[in-house]
Amino acid sequence: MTRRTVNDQRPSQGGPPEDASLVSRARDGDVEAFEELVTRYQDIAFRVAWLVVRDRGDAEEAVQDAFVKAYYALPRFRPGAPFRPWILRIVTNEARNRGRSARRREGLAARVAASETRRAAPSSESTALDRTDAEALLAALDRLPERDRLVIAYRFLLEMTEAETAETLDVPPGTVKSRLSRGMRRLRSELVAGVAEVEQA
Amino acid sequence: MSERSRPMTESALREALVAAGAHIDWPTPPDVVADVGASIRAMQSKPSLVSPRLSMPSRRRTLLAIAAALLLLAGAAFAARLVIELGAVAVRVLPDLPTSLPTNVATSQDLGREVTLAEAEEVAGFPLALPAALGPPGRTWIDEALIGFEPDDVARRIVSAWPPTTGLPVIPGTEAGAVLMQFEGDWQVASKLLSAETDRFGEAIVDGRPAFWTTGEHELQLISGDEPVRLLVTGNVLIWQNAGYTFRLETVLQKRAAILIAESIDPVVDPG
Repeated sequence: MTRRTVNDQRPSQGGPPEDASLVSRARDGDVEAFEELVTRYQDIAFRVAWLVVRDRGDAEEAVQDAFVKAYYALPRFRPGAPFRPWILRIVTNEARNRGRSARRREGLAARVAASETRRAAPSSESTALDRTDAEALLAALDRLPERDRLVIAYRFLLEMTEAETAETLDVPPGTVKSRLSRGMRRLRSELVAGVAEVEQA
Repeated sequence: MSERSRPMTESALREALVAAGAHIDWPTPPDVVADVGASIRAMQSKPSLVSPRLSMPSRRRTLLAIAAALLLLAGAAFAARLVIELGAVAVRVLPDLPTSLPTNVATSQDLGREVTLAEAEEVAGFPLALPAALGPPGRTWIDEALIGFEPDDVARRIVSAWPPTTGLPVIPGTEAGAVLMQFEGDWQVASKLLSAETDRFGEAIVDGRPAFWTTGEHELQLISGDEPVRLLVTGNVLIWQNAGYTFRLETVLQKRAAILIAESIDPVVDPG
């Protein structure tokens, strides 16, 4: 089985110009060109939405509605700007609009693969962290307030740049820096507290 | 303190987070390409198609959800200075320039269920007030916000849109020259967020009553069912009350012209 990964959807060569060309055609009413953009970014969009709502159904709805709204917002898209953070910002807003429902939310730690075979091809970094440590780290991340949790999750779990994280969360770059700094401090505290609890038990 | 409970360095924690990301068994992403394309084509070929997601709220929704939606409106206006409450619409001014304006102007699916003029009054249960200066609207929608425990505890609104003409230029980003919202009752189901640029908003008078006027881009939040919808407003907006209704008119016209349109709603609707 072939798994799609979220970062392999960007065009390998001249990515932004190709996006720009598709955006330009979509603005002129070419729905197929827009569908190509959807194909390209739907996986990362889904993860972005899922990190907000923690529910597969809500995330799917948010992604679908976000792309439809984005199509109609294309006349307002700044020519030459990167498409990916723009669409991810719309996805985040759509997901946040659904994020207050009473459905039970899945924890990040619960999604840590129980089996090596279910995991995506591990990167070199993944071998440096065992499953128990990953669970502890993600459980600690789950305990953070949303604004800290999301900035850390987008920046590191999805490996966005700081600039892209800022645009996706619709905050100034400086806010990302300050939230990351504060969030990482809190995460360290949560992590130590969690380990200490386990050791005491 | 054991080795494991020692705090990690910042760089080690960053590396661990990236590594942890590779351990997450993400839910399988859905393929939404076909659905997105179909939705866009359906809206293009059938302008009156009602989006299923934005149809009238289902009966299973609860006050908890309503409260959550209303709290979201309040939360979005965090640190904002309340300027004015005009019936169903609250206007708040942020102390600084907004950093999070929505990216989307209202589309058909944001405005509720599209109806004919006759259906609008029948479904809403109150008379539709239209400005004589504009003639019959091109399109009309109806939507409702849940405001209580019971399924019928709703505040309805009717939205009418007129196509652009020479005297009624298009509102940027939309296909309309004018959009009029008529809100039932005083339940605060709409909120405007402005930035503290004092030349962009101010008072007005419509039919001798206090009104509110604002120009330029800002955020409008509407409750649809129990969900808040954030929209970008690009036109100039006049808000006023009359006979128990709150009206919101968006155009790119200047204030005096907008007031003339507002005052052409005659006779004034009266719920009795």
